[in-house]
Amino acid sequence: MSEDIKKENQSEDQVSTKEEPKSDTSSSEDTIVEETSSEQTTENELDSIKLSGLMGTKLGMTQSIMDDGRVIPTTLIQLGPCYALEKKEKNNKCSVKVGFLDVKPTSLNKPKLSYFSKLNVKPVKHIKEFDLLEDIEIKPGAVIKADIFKEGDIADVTADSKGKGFAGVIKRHNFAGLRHTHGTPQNQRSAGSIGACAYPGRVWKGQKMAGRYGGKTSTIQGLEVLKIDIEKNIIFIKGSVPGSKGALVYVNHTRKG
Amino acid sequence: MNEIDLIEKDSLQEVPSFKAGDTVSVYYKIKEGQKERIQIFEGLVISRKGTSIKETFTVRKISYGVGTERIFPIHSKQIEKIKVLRKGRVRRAKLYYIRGLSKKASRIKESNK
Repeated sequence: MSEDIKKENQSEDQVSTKEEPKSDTSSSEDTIVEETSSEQTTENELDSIKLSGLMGTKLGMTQSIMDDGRVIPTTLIQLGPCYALEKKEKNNKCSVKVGFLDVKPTSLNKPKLSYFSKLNVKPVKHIKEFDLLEDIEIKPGAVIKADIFKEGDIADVTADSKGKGFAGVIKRHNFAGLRHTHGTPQNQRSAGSIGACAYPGRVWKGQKMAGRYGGKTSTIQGLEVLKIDIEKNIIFIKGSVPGSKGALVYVNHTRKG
Repeated sequence: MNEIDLIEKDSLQEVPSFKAGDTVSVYYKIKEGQKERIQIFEGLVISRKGTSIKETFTVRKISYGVGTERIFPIHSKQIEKIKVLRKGRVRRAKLYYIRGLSKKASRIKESNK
């Protein structure tokens, strides 16, 4: 495993590592790590990249107290560290494949690993394509930070919602249920009638009933970006977003207006 | 300590130590158009709930014979200061029972500490 890392690091900046002596492994590795990190902060950082969105992990919820005294429910999302992998062009539109969440090279199969080694980048767990809003050159492995958003932006957040299991119609479809008095039998949470009699003589397709609820990809549109912490790469979003703590979340610039 | 705790810690304000049973006066900034003035809300603290940035406290007072309660976020930037006027000796963390008592019955003894 360590050899794999070493190989990749070596390939990342070939000029400096070729001269390193092979025998002294520990010291050479240290120097390589230092060099790569310094390179990331200087050269590999994209100062102004305009992307349609980015991915990250949901940290959880808290409250923000504004200067005017309002208390606002806030979701914190850690955007990244995300890396640009490669630029794609199609129908005069540019996009970037973005990678997120470092993984051990041993946890990937050979085809996936070869994809990363061809690009000379660290292997990542999640890859997603985001639109480039202006045409610029992309260097593989460049770090993309949360500053693609700014305070006051409107965002759409997509994630897998929490699984609720087999849920009844009141929870799943917001039915009102039956009334609690006037001789109602013990089925206050039931759906009631599911259709007519001789016509259609069957239950219509799409009739709302009890069943599996949650655990599906869902998007909340029109959420305001309250604040951005560029140092920690955290974005503060007003309101709640789908998913549990630690869930993979896609934050996009809003589709509406 | 996780990331959320660290972020919350940044926006905490300094507050004096007080608990339910104490009498406090809250200096609260009120903005009217462009002008800003300070309103003082003085009364008995009947509860403190929540933790960190989410913590609030409830102050109860009798104004013109009507019981009035106000809930403040303890770390609100609108609170200029909280002055503890009197420490009370109570045996509960929440003094909601005070609401049902007459003025004479709702008196609280001063703490010796």
